[in-house]
Amino acid sequence: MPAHVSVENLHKHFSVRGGLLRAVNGVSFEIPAGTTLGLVGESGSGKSTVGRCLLRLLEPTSGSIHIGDADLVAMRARELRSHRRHMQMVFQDPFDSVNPRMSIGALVEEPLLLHTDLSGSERRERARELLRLVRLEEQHLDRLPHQLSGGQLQRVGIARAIATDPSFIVLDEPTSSLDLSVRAGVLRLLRELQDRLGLTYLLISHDLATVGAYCDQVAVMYLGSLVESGGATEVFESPQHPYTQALLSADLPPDPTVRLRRHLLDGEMPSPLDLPTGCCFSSRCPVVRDDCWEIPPALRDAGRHGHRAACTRLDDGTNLIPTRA
Amino acid sequence: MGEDVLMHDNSVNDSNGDTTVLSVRDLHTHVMGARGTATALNGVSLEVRRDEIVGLIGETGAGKSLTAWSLIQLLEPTLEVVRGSAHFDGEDLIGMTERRLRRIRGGRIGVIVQNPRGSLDPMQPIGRQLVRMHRRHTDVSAKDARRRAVEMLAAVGIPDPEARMRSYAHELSGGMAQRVLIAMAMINDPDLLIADEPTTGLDVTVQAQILDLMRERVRRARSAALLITHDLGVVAHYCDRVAVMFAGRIVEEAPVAELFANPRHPYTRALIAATPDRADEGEELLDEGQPPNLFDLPPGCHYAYRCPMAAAVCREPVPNTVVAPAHHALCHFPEGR
Repeated sequence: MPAHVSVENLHKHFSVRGGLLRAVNGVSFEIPAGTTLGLVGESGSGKSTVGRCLLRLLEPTSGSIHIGDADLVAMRARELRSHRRHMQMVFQDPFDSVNPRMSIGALVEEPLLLHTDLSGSERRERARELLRLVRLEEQHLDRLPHQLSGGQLQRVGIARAIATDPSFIVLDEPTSSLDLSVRAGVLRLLRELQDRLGLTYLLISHDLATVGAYCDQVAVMYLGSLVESGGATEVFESPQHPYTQALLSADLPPDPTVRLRRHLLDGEMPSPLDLPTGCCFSSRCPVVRDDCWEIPPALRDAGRHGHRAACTRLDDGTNLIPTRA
Repeated sequence: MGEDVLMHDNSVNDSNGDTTVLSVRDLHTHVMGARGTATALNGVSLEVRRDEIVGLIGETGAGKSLTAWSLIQLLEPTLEVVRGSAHFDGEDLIGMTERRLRRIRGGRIGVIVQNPRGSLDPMQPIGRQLVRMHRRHTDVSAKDARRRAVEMLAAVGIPDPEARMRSYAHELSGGMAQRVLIAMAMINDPDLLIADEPTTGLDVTVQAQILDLMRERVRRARSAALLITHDLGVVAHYCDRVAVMFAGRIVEEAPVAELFANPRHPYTRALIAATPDRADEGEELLDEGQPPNLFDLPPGCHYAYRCPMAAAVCREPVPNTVVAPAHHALCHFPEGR
C-alpha cells in the first residue's frame, strides 16, 4: 500500500560557527499515495535536508511529518527503528552508499537481516527475487560493488530500498552520478516499480528534465523555502514565481532547434546564515519592488489544479519577468 | 555591429582560407598499468578553427579529458602519447620540449578545468596569481599587469574586482572561483581555450552565466575553444561543431544542428534518445553494459558489443564514412541496415 505523505511547516536549523544556519524554513507539502513529487532547487536550497528530515535521518527543528498513519516527529527511537522498513532512501552515489567489501548478495540481504525474521535461505531466495525485480542477473550476487557499472550498482541500491516492502521512498538525486546513457533506464525502472509495488516517491533533483519527465507534482525550493508548487505540467509550462521562471529558462534542452528564452539572474544564492528579511529571492529578483523586502510572501493560488507560488506580485499580475529581445 | 564587420574582414584577409587553430591527427595514448597496456586514446583526429567552439562529448572513461591532457602534454607518468600529432599554429605539441610547452600553456592556449578551487593556489591572493600568469607570458610592467588583472575580473562579472584581487580561493563560491579561472585562462588572449567540464558541479543558473561568458570571451577575442562536456544541452546551445567519443575514438563528428537532426552512429543515436525528454518516445535505449575493457579491445568497432546493428563485418576495421558535408561517422552502417 503506497503511503500518503504530508509535511507541515517543517523547519530545520543548524547551529554552526558564525550563527544559525536556517536550512529549511517552514516547508509544507502533500504527496498523494502512489504519486511522485519532484523537489527541485539548486545546491544549498535545502532540498536534501527536507528529504533527510522526512525519514528522520535528521531531527527536524519543528513541524510535523506524516507518512501514512505514522506521525514521524512524535515517534520514539525504538518505534522509529521498527518503522524504518516502511520508508527508505536511494542515494546519489551508489559507490559511496554501500560497503565496498560486501558482496552484492550480502548488500541486498542486509535490510532483510535488520528488519525481518527471514531465515538465511529465505533471505537468499528474496535477494534473488529482488535482483530480478531490478533487472540484474543472479550471477551478480557474488560480485563486489567495484565489479559493477554505476548504473548496475544503482539498481542494487534500489533493490536494497525496496527489500522490506516500503510504502514511501526518498530518491535523492538517484541518477545524477550516472552517465546519460543509463539514466533513462534507471528512471524507467523506478517508475515500473512504483506501479508494481505501490510506492510513493519524493524525487529530489536539480535536473529539471528528469523532474519534468517523471513527476506528477513538482515543488521548487530556494534558500530553504518553497517558492512554487503544483502539477508538473502546470509549473513547467507556466512558471509563476520569478525564481522558477529564471531556473527553467536556464535549462538547456538537448535540442539545438529549441530557442532559448533566457532570464539570466545576477549573482548567486545568499548565505542561509544571513537570510533576507522579506522574500528569500528579493536580492536576485528581476522584478523586485520595495514591499518584497519587508514580509516573506506566503504561497497563494497561481493557476489551475493547486498550482501555487509565493510572490506578492502575483496579486496584481506583475510577477512575470518581461522577455528581453 | 563592429564585431560583425571585424569577423567579415578577417575571413577575407585569410587568403588561403585556412583558419585552423588546432589540428589533431591520429592521437594514440597508452596507459601503462600492472595488468598491461591499455589503449585509452585510439586514433583521435580533430580540428578546431578560429571563431569556433567544438564540443567533445561522451561517457565517463571515453577519453574526453585524456584528449585534452594529451594534446597539452600534461600527463601522469603512467600515460604516454605513443603516436599521432597535435599541430597548434603549425607546431607539433607532441614531443615539444617542456620549456616550449610552458610558454604555450596558459599563454596562447588557455585551460579551464573542472575543479576551480582545486586549481587555484590556496596560499596566494587571486590577484597575485592573475598578475603572475600575465607576466609569465608577456613583458608588461607589474603595474600594467595589475590593471589588466582587475579588468579581467570585471570582464568575467566579479563585483568589486579591486577588492577581490586580495581574496583567497577559499573565500570564493564555486561560481566565483570558476569565473576567476576563466579570467586566468583568458588573460593572455589565447588563440585556443580548452575547457574541461567548466560548469559541472555548478548550479544551472550559474552554469548559464559561465557558459555565456565563455562564449562571449571567445567571440570577442576571435579565438577558438574545445569544450569538453557530457551534457547534450550544453553542446546543443553553445557549440558550433561536435565530436562524439566512445572508447578512445571519435565515432561521429558534425555541425551541431546536423548531428541532432541526423545522427548516424548508433551510439550517438542512443545517446540522443536517452535524454529524459525523449526517453518516453519509445526509441531504442542504450543497453547499459559495462564500458569496454580498454586493456582488451575487440578488433574493428569498439561499440559492436553493445550495438543493435552489429554484424560480422563489424569485427573488421571500421571506415570513417562521410555521410554529409563536414559530417562523418565511424561505422559500417551509417545509413542503417
